[in-house]
Amino acid sequence: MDIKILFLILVPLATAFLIPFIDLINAKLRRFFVLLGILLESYLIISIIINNFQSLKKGDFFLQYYLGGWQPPIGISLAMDGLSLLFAVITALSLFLIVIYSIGYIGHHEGKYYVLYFLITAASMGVVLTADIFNIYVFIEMLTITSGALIGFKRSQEASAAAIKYLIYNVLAGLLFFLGVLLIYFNLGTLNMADISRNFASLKSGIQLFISAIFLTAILIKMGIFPFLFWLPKSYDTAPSPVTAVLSGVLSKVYLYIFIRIFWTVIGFETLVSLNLDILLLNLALVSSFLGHLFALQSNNIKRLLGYSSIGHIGMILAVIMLNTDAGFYGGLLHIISHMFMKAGLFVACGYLLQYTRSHAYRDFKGVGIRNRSVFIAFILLLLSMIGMPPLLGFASKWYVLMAFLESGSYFGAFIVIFGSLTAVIYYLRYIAKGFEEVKLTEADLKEEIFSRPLLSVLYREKIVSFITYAYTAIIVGFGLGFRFFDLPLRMSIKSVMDVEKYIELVLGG
Amino acid sequence: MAVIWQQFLASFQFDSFFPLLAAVGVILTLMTALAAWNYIRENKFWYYALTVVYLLSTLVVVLTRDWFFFLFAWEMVTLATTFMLAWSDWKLVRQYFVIQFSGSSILLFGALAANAFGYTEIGVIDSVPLQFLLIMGIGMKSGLFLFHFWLPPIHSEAPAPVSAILSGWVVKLGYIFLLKIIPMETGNTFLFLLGLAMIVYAGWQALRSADLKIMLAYSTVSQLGFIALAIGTGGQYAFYGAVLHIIAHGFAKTTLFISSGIWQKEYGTRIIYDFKDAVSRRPLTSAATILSFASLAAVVFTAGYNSKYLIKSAQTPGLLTAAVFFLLGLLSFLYAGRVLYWIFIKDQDYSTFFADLKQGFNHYQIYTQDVLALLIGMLGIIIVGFWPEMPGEVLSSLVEKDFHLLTGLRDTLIYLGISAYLFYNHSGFKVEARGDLSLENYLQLFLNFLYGLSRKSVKFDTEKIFETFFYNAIFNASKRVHDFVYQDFTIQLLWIPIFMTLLLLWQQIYSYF
Repeated sequence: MDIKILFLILVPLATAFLIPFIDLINAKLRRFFVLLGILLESYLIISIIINNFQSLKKGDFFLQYYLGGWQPPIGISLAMDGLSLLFAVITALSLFLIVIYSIGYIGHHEGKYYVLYFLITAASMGVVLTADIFNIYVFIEMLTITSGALIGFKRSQEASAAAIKYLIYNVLAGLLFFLGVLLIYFNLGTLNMADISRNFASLKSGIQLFISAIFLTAILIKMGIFPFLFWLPKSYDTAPSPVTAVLSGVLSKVYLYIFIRIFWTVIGFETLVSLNLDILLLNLALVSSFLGHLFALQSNNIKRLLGYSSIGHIGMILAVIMLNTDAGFYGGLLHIISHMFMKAGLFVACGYLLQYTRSHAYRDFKGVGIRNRSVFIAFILLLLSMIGMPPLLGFASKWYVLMAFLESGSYFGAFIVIFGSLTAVIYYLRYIAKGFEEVKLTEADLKEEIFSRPLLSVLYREKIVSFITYAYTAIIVGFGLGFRFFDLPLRMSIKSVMDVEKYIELVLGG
Repeated sequence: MAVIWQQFLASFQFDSFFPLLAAVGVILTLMTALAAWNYIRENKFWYYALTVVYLLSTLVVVLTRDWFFFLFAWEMVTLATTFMLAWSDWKLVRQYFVIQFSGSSILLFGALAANAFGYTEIGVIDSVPLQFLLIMGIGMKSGLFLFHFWLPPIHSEAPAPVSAILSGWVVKLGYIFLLKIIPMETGNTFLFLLGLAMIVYAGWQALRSADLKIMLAYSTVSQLGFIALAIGTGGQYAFYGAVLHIIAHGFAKTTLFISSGIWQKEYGTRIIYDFKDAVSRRPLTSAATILSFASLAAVVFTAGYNSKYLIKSAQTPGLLTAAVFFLLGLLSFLYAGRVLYWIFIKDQDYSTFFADLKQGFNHYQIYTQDVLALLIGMLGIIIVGFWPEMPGEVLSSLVEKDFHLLTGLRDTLIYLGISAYLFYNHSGFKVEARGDLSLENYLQLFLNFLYGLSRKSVKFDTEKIFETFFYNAIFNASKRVHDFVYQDFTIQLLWIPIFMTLLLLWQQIYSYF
């Protein structure tokens, strides 16, 4: 029983509900309150790590909280093992940086923005911490609805269209997920994940297949794997930069966490293998990665391009996890971490760089690097990390992914990793070159410039925005040199993924 | 880290020819460093830093037995020499970089293949296809026939000390690698034929150049042909000949490129027809040039004679071999002699020679460092000429070898007669200086040829090729795939039931395969 893990969800939730009341008192107080909320969240995580440092080192870290005091098979419980802790830490760190960025970036309708933002924080923490499958569904819906509202935050025509498409896809996926939860409940009579896991093998093969297929479809839609990938770049393009950073940096990783939880802990990888679905999924993820990189080549819009490259990377991570080996998980989890920081950093930098341009199009990228030289250099460093340049974090994670593919003899996967890096060179180099091109304004250009832009968007607090970009770059460079730092948490989380029996025993018997 | 370091130290091999070759490499680098002291005026520190990097990594390339360190060190050599070209022109840096790295990619592929077939260390490789792959791999870096196209433009445009480094030692690294992998007993017929083609083609091109540095670059390719031919022949003496030729040509070509830098400063031009009163203006440089060209032309008592004699003696004896090698020797003699003829004999006035020499009229104040570099080079040529067995055990069996100096002297005299006859009757093969020797022009010609297959000739802007043609091709191709996959939002939604049905029926589908 540790009440701190309950507070990990409650603190952002309470912040979200209190923000409108704070607005009533004083609107300027709001940003301090927001900072207070996120700092409290960070304090909770740090204190959890420090209090349990010995058990973390020993590898038997496990925390649990029973809501209302009801024991697991009946009541709802929150559980935190190695994998949850890893995801909670990186999610909280990412959200912490992005909220500071938002303080500088969002200059209008701040109250609504922070409410939605903190609901996302609470929901992603909840997804990571809960041990109950219906709770996961609730938090997924929360994520979908809040992020849908944030995608349409600019209220332009494209933003609304993208938000509606996003909502249609994700609500359908949520519906499918709900159907899966219902089927499980009707067949097993329980919603606790450990309990389901213990009894899942006793189900008939047809029902097992149906439940697996429904969950797979739902989660693949959420992650944007091959047949369902087109909602993703659209919504990334129209959302404000911090929201895109959250979508790409946090939400896709949270869905990856759900995927791992459901298909390793709840349903069990052996079920997938016995249904022959593992090879299908592996190849599907690789094809998706291939298409993501290929489509990034044809994109004339930097934010869409980054979205397509996200598809490529998430496909790669999913494929390397589907290998179901220790090396595969090591590479996959390390790439989840590095991709989280790289992509969020790139979108954050994009938000700064594109502040004066008419659109996100390639032709408007001209001269961006000359105007904001230092931020552009940070941007280039992040791009190089995406490509996989040696001293940066992206190289380390790609290297482990490549090694995992080679170790298990999946040469298609190894090809995809190399192919991704090579195409990334092509599509990023073009933007870097364009950024350093000098702008020569003609008369016609000037007129168009003046008439097409209603008002000059100036960042609310420019220094904070550029500082966060540098912070992301520093993380990439620093952990690129010291990526061995992740060795202990990665091994810990791999152990908790692979050892399902222990999880069941801890949740039910504790 | 410590493990890598131990592995690195353990990978060195100090047997066979390689320590000797490494020592020669160090001496040649020292020569170029001396010559560069006054040639390179700006950013001297960075130049010498690059030289140190270059030196250390060549030592690794020559001595290591580990594939990884070998490839890594060679990339470091490439990078260091690439940036040395910046003292001439950044354009060269870009071109050289692209060419060298496209060569490295083939070599990397070859090395991976060799590794996969069980050759975990660099050693003798018996499989002929693998040998072929690795020969192709070093082809671009070492200027094998048809891959040599980049060598004359880049070597002639580089600063003189860098040309000396590139031509004197960097291109030899590939042949040193081949000495390690080609079996000594059998050789490689393909390499033999390539070498023959290089000698003839590049020798002919060298005979047709008016520019001193371009001529030197082509003669490099031609002399590399002798090394390739020797390694391709196989046999103990052929390999000794190859080692000796690497050393002899290294000394001669480094000296020649250093002196070409001095000539260029003296006359302000590289066209050999314009050099007048060379001996009285620059006596020492003249001596170095004459001696090095004599070594290239295989005159007796120079390093080049010994190596070429060894290569010749390793062939199957017979009339055809004798005739072919006589003609190859004649070609080398002709292109080396032609330059000497133009610089020192044709249209020269030696009537007031001693007065000019005393007066010491010249445009360029020679420095001690230059003198030292030239002297080391001359000394090297003479030492290898008189003492081919050199320190160490490796070549000690050459002590008993009879070099047939009298036959060599006879041949030299015959060559001299023939070339004197030819030069006097054809006015020294005077040709116009070429202006089109640059890689952009090559690319332009190639593209015009391709495009001209269907249309009239068009001017291509080679700088914009990537942005317009190349990128648009990629862009349009991926756009087509994108449009093919993405049809419509409603059709996109149809994927959900289709995908779910696929998953549900997957076991039936799977059982068909």
